[in-house]
Amino acid sequence: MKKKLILPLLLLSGLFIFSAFMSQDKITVKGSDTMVILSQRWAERYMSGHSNVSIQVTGGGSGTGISALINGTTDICNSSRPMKQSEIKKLKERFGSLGVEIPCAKDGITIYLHGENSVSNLTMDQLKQIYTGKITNWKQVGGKDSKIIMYSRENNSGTYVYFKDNVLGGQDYAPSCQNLPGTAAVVNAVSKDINGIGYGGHGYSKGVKMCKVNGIDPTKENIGNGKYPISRALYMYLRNRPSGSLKLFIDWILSPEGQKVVTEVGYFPL
Amino acid sequence: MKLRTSLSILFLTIIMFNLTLIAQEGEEKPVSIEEIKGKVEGIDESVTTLITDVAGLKKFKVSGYMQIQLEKTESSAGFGANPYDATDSKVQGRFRVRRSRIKFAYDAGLSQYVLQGDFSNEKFELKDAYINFTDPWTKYVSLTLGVFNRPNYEVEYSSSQRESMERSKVIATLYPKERDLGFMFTVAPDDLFKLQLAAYNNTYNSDLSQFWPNYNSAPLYYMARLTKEFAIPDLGLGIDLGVHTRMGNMIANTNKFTSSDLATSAVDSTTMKKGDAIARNWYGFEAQVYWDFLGGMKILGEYIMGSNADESTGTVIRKRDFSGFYVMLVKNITSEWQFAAKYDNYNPNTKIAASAIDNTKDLAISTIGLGIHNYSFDNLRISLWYDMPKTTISNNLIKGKALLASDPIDNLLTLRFQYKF
Repeated sequence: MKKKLILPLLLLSGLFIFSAFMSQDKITVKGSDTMVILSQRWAERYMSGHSNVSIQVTGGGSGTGISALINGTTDICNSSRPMKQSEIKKLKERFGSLGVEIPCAKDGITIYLHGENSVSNLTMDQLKQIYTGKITNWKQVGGKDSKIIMYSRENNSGTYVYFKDNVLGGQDYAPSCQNLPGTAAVVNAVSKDINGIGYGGHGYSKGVKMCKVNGIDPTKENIGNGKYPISRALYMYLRNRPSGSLKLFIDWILSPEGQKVVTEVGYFPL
Repeated sequence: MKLRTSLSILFLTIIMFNLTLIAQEGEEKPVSIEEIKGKVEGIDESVTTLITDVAGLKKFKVSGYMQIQLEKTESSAGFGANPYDATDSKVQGRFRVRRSRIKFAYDAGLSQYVLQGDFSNEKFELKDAYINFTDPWTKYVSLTLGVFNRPNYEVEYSSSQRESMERSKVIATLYPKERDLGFMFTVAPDDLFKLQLAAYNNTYNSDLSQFWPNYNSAPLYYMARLTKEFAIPDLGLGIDLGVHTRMGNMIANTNKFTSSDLATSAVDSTTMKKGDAIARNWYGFEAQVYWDFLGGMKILGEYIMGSNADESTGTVIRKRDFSGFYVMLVKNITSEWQFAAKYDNYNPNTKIAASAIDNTKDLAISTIGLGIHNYSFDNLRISLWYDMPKTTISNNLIKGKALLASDPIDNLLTLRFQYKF
């Protein structure tokens, strides 16, 4: 029987060596689309000073990134929302770990309006009524008599989940809400649609008007001090406490140099 | 959105193509911007309808897994050497489709419909058939109705995820097929605790595939499980603790029984009479420790004790006090390799000495299992697992021969390929 065991043992040993070899100094980052530009900037800046490290960044949404972390196909998961208990449970079952949560920047979810829209302030309740389909005309919130066209993210987006939980109070989005695959697509749609409204990361708000929420501007100060009502942390999640090149990269992100990139991209340092 | 974009581009292309043709046909039918706008709006409405339909389909989910394995036993008597192994094959090696599951679920957020079947044993077997509702106000309470897992840690721990090839002996004995037909309330207020309260048809040992109450059982049995998770993030440590119980009776259909401190042959026909309720009650404690140590590790364990009863050959009821436990260590070597070791013990009769046992059903058995798992390929887990069971020796002479003079040679090697989607 021992002889018959040799083949499977050799096969498994070969896989072990192969996988150990493949894991050297290559870092993969996957997840939040809100954070993808920020993460790419971090990677580019870090790799320019550390030529031995290769960092690959992809988006796909926070949910996609968390799934990849659980499946073992990414080293770092970017997420614009905290992990759910059900997701932590899966990580525990597969890796025996609770995961490591690292807040790495702050963001204010900005409400985008077309530049010619006369509305410039919405309350949290009005936002809820708009996105759940109870307010359907700009006239109902002080604008002109036109139908409101809602743009949102897809349900694998952390921003989608955060907005649903914190603005809609857990209620479903109106069926007429148009789900777009990325924040850039939301900004682009609103910039071309005078009746459009969208939401997303502060760093993307180019070519659109940023709407006040409860009378508070989404400025650096207001988001940084939490006065702006839709402020949130952006996270990186790891399976285990980092070591080696992964730890050095994380430490650099949290250093003044890494946090400077946060400001450059349009988000807010810790 | 990709669908929407593609369809929009397609429709616009068709419109533009038609407009070009119209233009080519002559100048007699100029198309106004308003007309084009109207058509585009019409297309937009159609696409919005399609998006709504696709969103509905997204709620429908199909998942499954299949376990194909090669098993090799050391016993010259084949897989039937172990007294607990119902398989009486004389072969020493075999390929086997251990599990082949497909699960259909419709998840509408606060309600779910789940249907799961197993095709592995040359027949179709129903595994899950339940509906689940969550209260829309607090979202703390949910109700599950149908055929579903009983509330116990290892029962609920999916076979596709579990590191040992099979469940522990005590769990497999107490919860055959893992599921039963009934209903369960789950109360889970945020992260405070989780309480499961369930009642099931008392299927006892009847044909479990039918999930009907057994003729000699009380109508229902009840289960409860309470769990609480603790986390110390700074230490990378998580500890989950829990207790569970099962309460229910079996109704005696005979006056003959043997109690826990009697051998099976010592039948008592006076203490108990037909129609009496015999308790089948037990209590369990569980702990799971997760530690982010050099790539992550976990230790899982349960201890269960109580009173059980079964019907022996249809004429004698065997009432037994039992205990059982398992401890499993799982350590990640890299993100793709994992080592696991498990010790499990089941003593079906804690009150009788081995020398007095006259029925193999009363023999205690402990098993050491060791194995490694590989996750290098998407969806695929390759496992190599070695089980070393040790059965209690009984020199009690039955017809001049010891019941079990030596531990059977029944170590088992399993090479399993699991595909999960």
